[in-house]
Amino acid sequence: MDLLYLILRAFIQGSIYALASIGLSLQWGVLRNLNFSHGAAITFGAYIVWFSLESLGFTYLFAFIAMLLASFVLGIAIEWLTVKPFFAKNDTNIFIATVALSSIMAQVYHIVFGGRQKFMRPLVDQLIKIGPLQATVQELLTILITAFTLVVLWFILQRTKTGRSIRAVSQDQVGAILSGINTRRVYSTTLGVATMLAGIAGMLLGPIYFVSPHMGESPMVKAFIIVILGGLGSLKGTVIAAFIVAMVEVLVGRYIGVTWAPMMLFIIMIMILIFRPQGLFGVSNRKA
Amino acid sequence: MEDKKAILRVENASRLFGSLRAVDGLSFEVYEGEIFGIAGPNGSGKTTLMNIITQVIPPNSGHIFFHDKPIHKMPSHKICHEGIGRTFQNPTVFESLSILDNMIIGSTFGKNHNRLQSNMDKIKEVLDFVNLDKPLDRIAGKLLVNDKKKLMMAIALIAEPSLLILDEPCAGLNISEAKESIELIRKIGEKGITVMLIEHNMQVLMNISDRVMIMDAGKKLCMGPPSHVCTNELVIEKYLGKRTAKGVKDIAES
Amino acid sequence: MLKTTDNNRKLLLFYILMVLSLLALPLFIKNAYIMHLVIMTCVWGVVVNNWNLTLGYGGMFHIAQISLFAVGGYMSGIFINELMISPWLGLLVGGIFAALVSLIIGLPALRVKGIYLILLTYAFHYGIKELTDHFREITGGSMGLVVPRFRMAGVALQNWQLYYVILALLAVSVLLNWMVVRSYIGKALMAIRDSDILANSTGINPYKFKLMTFVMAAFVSGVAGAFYASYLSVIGTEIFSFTLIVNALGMIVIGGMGTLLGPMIGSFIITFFMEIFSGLEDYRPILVGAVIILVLLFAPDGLIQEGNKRWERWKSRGKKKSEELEV
Repeated sequence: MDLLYLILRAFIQGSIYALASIGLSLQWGVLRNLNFSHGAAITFGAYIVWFSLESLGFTYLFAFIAMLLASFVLGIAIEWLTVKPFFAKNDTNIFIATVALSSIMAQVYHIVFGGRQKFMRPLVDQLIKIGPLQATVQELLTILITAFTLVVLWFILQRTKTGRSIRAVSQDQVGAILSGINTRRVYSTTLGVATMLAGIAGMLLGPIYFVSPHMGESPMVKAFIIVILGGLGSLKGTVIAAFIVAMVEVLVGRYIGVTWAPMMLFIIMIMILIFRPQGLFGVSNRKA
Repeated sequence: MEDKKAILRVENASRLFGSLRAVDGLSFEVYEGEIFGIAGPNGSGKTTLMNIITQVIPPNSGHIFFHDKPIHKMPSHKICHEGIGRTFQNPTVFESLSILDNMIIGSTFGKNHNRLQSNMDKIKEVLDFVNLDKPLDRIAGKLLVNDKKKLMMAIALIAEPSLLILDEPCAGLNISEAKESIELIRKIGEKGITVMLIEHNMQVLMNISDRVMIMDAGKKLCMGPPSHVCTNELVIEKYLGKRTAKGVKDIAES
Repeated sequence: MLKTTDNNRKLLLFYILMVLSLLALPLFIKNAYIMHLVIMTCVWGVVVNNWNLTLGYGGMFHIAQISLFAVGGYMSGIFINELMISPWLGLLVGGIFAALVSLIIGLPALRVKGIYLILLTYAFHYGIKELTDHFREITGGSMGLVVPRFRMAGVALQNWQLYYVILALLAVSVLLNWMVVRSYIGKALMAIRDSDILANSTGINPYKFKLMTFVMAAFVSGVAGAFYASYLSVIGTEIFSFTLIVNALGMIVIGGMGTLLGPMIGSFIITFFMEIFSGLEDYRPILVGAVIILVLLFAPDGLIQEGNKRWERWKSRGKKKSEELEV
């Protein structure tokens, strides 16, 4: 019974991780680099929702919509500032620029909202108990929202024109350019979508932890581990890896000790990088 | 031909990428002092073969011997120390360093020295040999494609390899540059260095090679002297086409 | 030819003057706080100097330098506290442990490159932080670890004396880097940075050279970490904060990646820059971040190189004008 409860917890944790990391994976697929301001984007989503709820008095739905819009704009701004000037010329600089940007953003949150932790009220404040299983409604909603978001994302990627061009670029840059796709626009759209996904993750993290300027950093570290485990660029792999990581974390935390969970993840990451650098589900990107 | 000594012996080498057999159970020998040409359609495994020999991508199975010494388990840099030099299809040089530094790196590490080797006479001699007459302090990344290719060749040559592997040395060059490059390969052959040459242009290949191997789908389609290869029906059918075959044959026989 | 020797002589004169003024610095600085800033500039100078060796020259894109610096500080502090060794010996202990840890992380991590190496070292950074939290009985956890200060003949050293200690370490570090860069190791590193495939087929074993420099750079950074802990007499988990990584990266980028003296000038700029704006406490990280991005955008080779380029252009422009006049 204890185990069943742990699985439930892993499921809740895993769905947030999936949201936090799938944007990174998407971005890798299209742009072939990782965005170190992704953590700040998670925090951004949390703050926007908190601000809309508490200061503007929005309902949750409006706060959600406001967050999506703001995140999309932020994503485009991130692309314009840190990716566009260096793209295909200097990956090092993209990394440094996104690192610098994340530092700037964290400090902006600090100045605007103060360093104190903010409590974000959950959508539904209720506890559900079924036998030994217990979870807040908010946590169950987290699973639902994640599932819904992933389905929408899948739909967008498979069925819409934008989604198809995103997939085309991530499969073959040159081919995409030749077939008349505006890759520039695909890049910014991708970052917009990735940042929106991060924002949703932030919104869901808010009520579980507290909202604070650096709250996104630790999920970002997890997200990096997850995208590597799942195979950079593989969305399916990322989602599965998110649940694996959450499971490992919950189990190690329960049976060995909470502080050992990060060490365990680190060891797993090294193992993956040495023995299967393309990740569990990625295809090798090495070509002849 | 029979009494020629094999410098490189490839036995049953294979390399898979997923389910794709890029090189599939390939066996052949390269004789000392010859120019050995390799051709084949795109994706027939030519470059993979080069990478297998130099261990950039290790083979999944098979044996490779260089001077009768097994090299299929050796790391890439040791293969260079054994005396196999190579160039790449894309002009690859040490972009941020000067021509001089590029050459020093070649002569220092090519022979596994633990001290920088900057014998100016030798460096100038090799640069002269490949006909690269740019100032020594020019940054390699700022050179034109042809000059980069020359420099790449010079880096390989200054390590005094006994086998030189050239991957499409004429790709991306204009006609007069390509002619110069072919002349250079001939000169390298005359120095007694064995050359393995991948080349798309059949006329060039037939003209310059002592023996030719045609690859298709990772396998050997046909191997032998140019005149023999271009009359092979399989080759004509699969690769050359009748008209080209005739033109190439004329060259090979002349 | 004559011109270059002339330039060389000027350069030599410049270096001699620089060393002399650095040696004489404590005579002019009476303000204790400024002295402290100078010392911190030197400490960060050592760290970024070595980070730059692996990142700028070796092209190893890792962010482990600060973690290794912290390992040096913590291990030295722990040894001083638990085994009662002297802080001077602690310097050596810090260096050795940083080198050992760098070997452990480098052996697997330097087999991969690019984004994988960044992520591995990033995770490593957090791993070390977690370990520090975990063993809070000996590391002091978030309270920090109190470390005794340097003493000589029973008397605690003053800051101007400590300045000479860290200056000596900085000098050793720069000299070591200079020797490495000029030697065949440096050439191999730069070759690997430019193209590891070509380097490999030119007879260079990239892994060997990378690991060698990585461990060496870690040793010197570890010594600096030990100095840092004893100098401030405390080392805490804020050493793992992301801001420090950003600052150090900023020093390298602003000064010029892959140049010998650039990062140290960057260290000076950032350390004092932070102080000039000390009234704007909250805005400093934003300023640093903004400066980094601006430098990346408009002077990607660093301020020094950019300044040089501008100066040359300005000079040659003057020449052109005079030529035109003659015509």
